[in-house]
Amino acid sequence: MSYNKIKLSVGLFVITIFIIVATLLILLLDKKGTFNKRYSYYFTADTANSFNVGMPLKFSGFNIGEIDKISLKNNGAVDMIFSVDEENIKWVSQGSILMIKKPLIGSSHIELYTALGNPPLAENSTLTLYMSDDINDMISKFEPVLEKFTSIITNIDLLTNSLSQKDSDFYYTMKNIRTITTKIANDGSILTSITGDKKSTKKLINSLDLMKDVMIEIHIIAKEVNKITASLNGDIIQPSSNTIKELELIMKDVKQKLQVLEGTVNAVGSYDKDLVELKDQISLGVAKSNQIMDKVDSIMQSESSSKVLLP
Amino acid sequence: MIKFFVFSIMFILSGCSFKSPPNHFQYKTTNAFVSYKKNFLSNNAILAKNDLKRAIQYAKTSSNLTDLAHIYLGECALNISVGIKDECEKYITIQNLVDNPTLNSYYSLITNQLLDEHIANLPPKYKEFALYKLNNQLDLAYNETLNMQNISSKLIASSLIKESLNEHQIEEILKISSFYGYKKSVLFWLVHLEHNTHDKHKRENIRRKIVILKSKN
Repeated sequence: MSYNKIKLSVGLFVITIFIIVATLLILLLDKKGTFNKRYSYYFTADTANSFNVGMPLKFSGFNIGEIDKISLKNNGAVDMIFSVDEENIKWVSQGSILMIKKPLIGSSHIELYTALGNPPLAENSTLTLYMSDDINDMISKFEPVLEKFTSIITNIDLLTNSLSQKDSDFYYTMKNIRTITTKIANDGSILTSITGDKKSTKKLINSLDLMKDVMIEIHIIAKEVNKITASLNGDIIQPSSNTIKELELIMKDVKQKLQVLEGTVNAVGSYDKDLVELKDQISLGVAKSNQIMDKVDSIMQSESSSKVLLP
Repeated sequence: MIKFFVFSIMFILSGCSFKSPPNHFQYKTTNAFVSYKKNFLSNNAILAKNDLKRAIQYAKTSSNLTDLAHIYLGECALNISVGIKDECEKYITIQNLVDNPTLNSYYSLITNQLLDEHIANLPPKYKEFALYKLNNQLDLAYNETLNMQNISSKLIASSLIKESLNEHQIEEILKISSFYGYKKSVLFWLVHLEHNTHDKHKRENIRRKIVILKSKN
């Protein structure tokens, strides 16, 4: 093939590739709507905070347009222009309103609310904007709850203060209850009013006296038993007890030492495994190096024979 | 650049085209044993030990123990060549399994049990030497060692007649060992020379040389 033909072929190839790439690019941009005609509308806001060029305009959760321009007017208001493409112009109708949404999570956007069935709004018309601030709304809704909560805490504080003061109603009430219960316990007439007749009251008092005597007897018996055990302590029980205590101490000591030893034994066991592993690795390394040495020997040694010669 | 490229391609292709022979273990045995001889005589103990171990290991891959017997006898002969007492016990354990006349004759030679009937079966390089030794013509035997091509054979043969060598002959062997850098052999012949030198001053110098060679610093 001559040089000129090669040059022609290469040139044709480059041009073809360029055309294919350009066509694909154009198709891609067309598909994305870059060449579609866009319709602009206006709206005004008090501040440009939360707005930016390219901010999406949504209808029912779908992006239908975006802010193209933001400019400050002489009266301090902010003028904004947004545009929608031909396909979505039907959603911008007469009576449509805009609302900026600032969700707690996610980026701000403009939501379009429209009355379906109304005729489409003419291009370059002005729409009304309403602000919706989800964070502030939430705070404003939470404010009454917060106020009630504060009030409850204040009441609890008052109650606790009242309970702690000696001249409070609660204190007097508790004092009266105490007086009544003391009287019931000490006065026979009150006891009679509870039991029904004087005989029963007397029987009850006698029973209580008898109970007192019985308790004294039990106390004396307990003392005697205590004396017996005390005498045993000195002769037999005390030394045994001491021995047992010493034995307990020794056993505790042995237990602690065994626990330490167990840890050591376990550790040694693990070292043993590590050493075996290490040995295997070293053996592997030596075997590999021997293989290399074999290769080096076969390369370096001028004589190559399969027979071992006697020196 | 082109030459390098062509060389690389040729190298790769030639590398790929080589096929290892089925008895490659025998080549490995031989190579390891040759390396052992060199390292042993050069006093590279660790390397020599490793080489010998590898040689034995490869020799033991076959049921034919001839190579193993060669190695055992070679090890024994080299030990004798540097004055290490060796009765070739390893070879004796497998001698019956191999039953090789050459090896048996060689064993007789290095253990000073040589008989007339052994000479015919000896390796050719030792035949003349053995004949002179057997006939007690030790000067001729010494001259024969000098004619040997293989240095290790030369050292082995010399060691077999070391008692009959004079001072000058020992120095000649020492010179050869030194030339090849076989330190183990050099030390052996230096000690032997020290014992056979009557000159006190010369003996002292030899002793100092031995100390220097043995020191690690």
